[in-house]
Amino acid sequence: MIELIDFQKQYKHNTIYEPTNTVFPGNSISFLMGKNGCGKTTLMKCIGMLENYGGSILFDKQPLPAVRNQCMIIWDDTPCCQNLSGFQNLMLLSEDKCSKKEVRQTGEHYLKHSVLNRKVKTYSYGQRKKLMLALADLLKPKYLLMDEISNGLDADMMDELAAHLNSMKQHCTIILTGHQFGFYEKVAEHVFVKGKTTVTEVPPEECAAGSLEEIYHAYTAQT
Amino acid sequence: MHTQLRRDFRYFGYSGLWLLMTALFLLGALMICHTNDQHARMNIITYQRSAEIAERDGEDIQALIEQGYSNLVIGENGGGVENPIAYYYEQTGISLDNMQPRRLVPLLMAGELALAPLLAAFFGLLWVSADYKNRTFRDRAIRFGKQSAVISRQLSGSLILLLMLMIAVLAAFGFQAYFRHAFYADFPDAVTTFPMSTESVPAVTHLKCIAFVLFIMLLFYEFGFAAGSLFRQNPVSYALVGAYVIFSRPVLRYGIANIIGRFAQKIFPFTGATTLTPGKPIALLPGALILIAALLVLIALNSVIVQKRSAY
Repeated sequence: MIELIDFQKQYKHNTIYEPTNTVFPGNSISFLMGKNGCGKTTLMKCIGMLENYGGSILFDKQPLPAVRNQCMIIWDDTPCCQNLSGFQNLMLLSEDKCSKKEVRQTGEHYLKHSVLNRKVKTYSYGQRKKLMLALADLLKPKYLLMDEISNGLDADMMDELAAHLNSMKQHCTIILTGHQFGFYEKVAEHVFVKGKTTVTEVPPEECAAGSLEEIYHAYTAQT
Repeated sequence: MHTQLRRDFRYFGYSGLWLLMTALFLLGALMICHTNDQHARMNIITYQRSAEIAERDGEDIQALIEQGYSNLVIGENGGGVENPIAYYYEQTGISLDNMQPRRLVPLLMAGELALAPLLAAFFGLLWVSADYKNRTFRDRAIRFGKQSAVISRQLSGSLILLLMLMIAVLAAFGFQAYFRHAFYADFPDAVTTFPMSTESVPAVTHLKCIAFVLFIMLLFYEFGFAAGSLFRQNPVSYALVGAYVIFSRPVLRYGIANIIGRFAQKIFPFTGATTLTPGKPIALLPGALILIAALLVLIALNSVIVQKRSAY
C-alpha cells in the first residue's frame, strides 16, 4: 500500500494539497480522478520524490529510498531516449534485469519486430505507451503508477491492458489516473477523487451504485 | 551506482556518441601529429634551401652552423634571425626530436590542452542535458535518487573522457609512427645530419602532463555540466560555453582558460607546434587556488541545482 500521511503541497501561495491522509491499498488497483490541472500528476511526482512536499509518503511503511528499485511511474509523456530504438530503450531502462532474449520477447508482445527496431522518435503516442508497458513487464515493480495510461491506446490494447493490470495486481500496488472512465471502470477497485485541495476516497457502495462519470461529476461539482 | 554507470555506458554506446567523441579525439591526435610532421618538413626544407643558396655563394656550411645564430629585433613587431642556416639546423633537430615516441605524450598533452577544454565542456553539456531533453531524468531520479543520478552522470562522463584520452594517446603513437616513416622516406639523411637530443623524458613529467590535462578536462566537463543543468540543451547553452572557452583567455586574467595557459608553460617540458600560447601573467599560487576552487564550486553547484529544481 501507499500511504499519504499529513501530505501537503503548495507552490508559493497556491495550495494544491492541504494536509491529507489517504491510503492507496496494496495488491489492488486504485483510480484517482479529478479535473485537469488539479494536481494528479503533481501527486505522482511527489510520490516519486521529484517534488518537495510536506508530510510523508510511505510504501508499506517504508519511505521511497528503501523501495526505489521496486517503484515505477509511467508518465503521460512517456519519457524515453528518442534517438534510440524501442529495443535499445528496453535494454537500457530494464537495467540488466532480463536477458536480451526476454527483452526482445516482451517488447514484441506489445510492438511488432520492425517497430521495436525503429527509433522511438518515429513512434506514435500509443506505440510509446506500449513500449512503457513492456518496460513495466520487464521491471516487475511492486508499486506501479500510471498517468493517463489509456490515452492513445487502441481498443484491443486497452482490453489487453485491463486484463494485464488485473493479473499484475496480485503482486503490485497500482495507482491509475485518467479521464477515459469506460476503461477505468473495468479495472478500478478503489476510486479517489482529487478535489480542490483534498483527496477523497469514494465509498465502495457509491462506486457500485453509479458510473465513474456520475461520481466524477458529483464529487467535482462539490469543489 | 554500478547499475547507473552500466546504463550510462550503454547509452553512450547505443546513442552513437561514442563514435562522435572517438572521432573528435582521434582527429585531435591526428592533427597534432600531422602538425608536428609539417613543422619538421618546413624546418628541413627551409634549411636545405638556405644551405643551397649559401653553397652557391661559396660559403662554408659547417662553419656557418658552428657560428650559431642570434635573434634580431627590428622595430616593435618585427624580428628575424641572423644566420638562418644555424637556426634551421637547430630547429630541424628539435622537430625531429618531437617526432620521437619518447616525447610524444607531453607534446600530445600540450596539444590536447588546446582542444580538450572545448571538447570536455561540450560533452558535459550534452551528457547531462540528454537526460533532461529525453525527460528520462525523472525515471532515473525515482529509481536511484536525484543526487545519486547526478553523481553517477558526473562519474560516467569523467570516465568516458579518460577513456577517450587514452584512445587518443594510443592512436597518436600509430599516427606518429606513420608520419615519421613517411618523413624519413622523403628525407633519408635527416637522422644522421641533424643534432637530436638523447635526453630522456622522466616518467614523472609524463604523469604530470597527463594529470594536468585530465584535471583540465574534468574542470571544463563540470563547467559544461553546470551550463547544461542550468540552461538545458539549446543553442544558447552551446554558444555561452563555446564563447567562454574560446574568447575568455585574452580578456579574463583570472579566468580558468587564461590560468591554464600559464600553468602549461610550467608543466610541459618543451614546446611544439601545437602548444598552447602563454596567457596573461598571473602568479601560480593564486592561479592554482582559482582552478581548484572553480572545480569544487562547479561540483557543488551541480549538486545544488539538482536539489533545488523540482520539475523535470
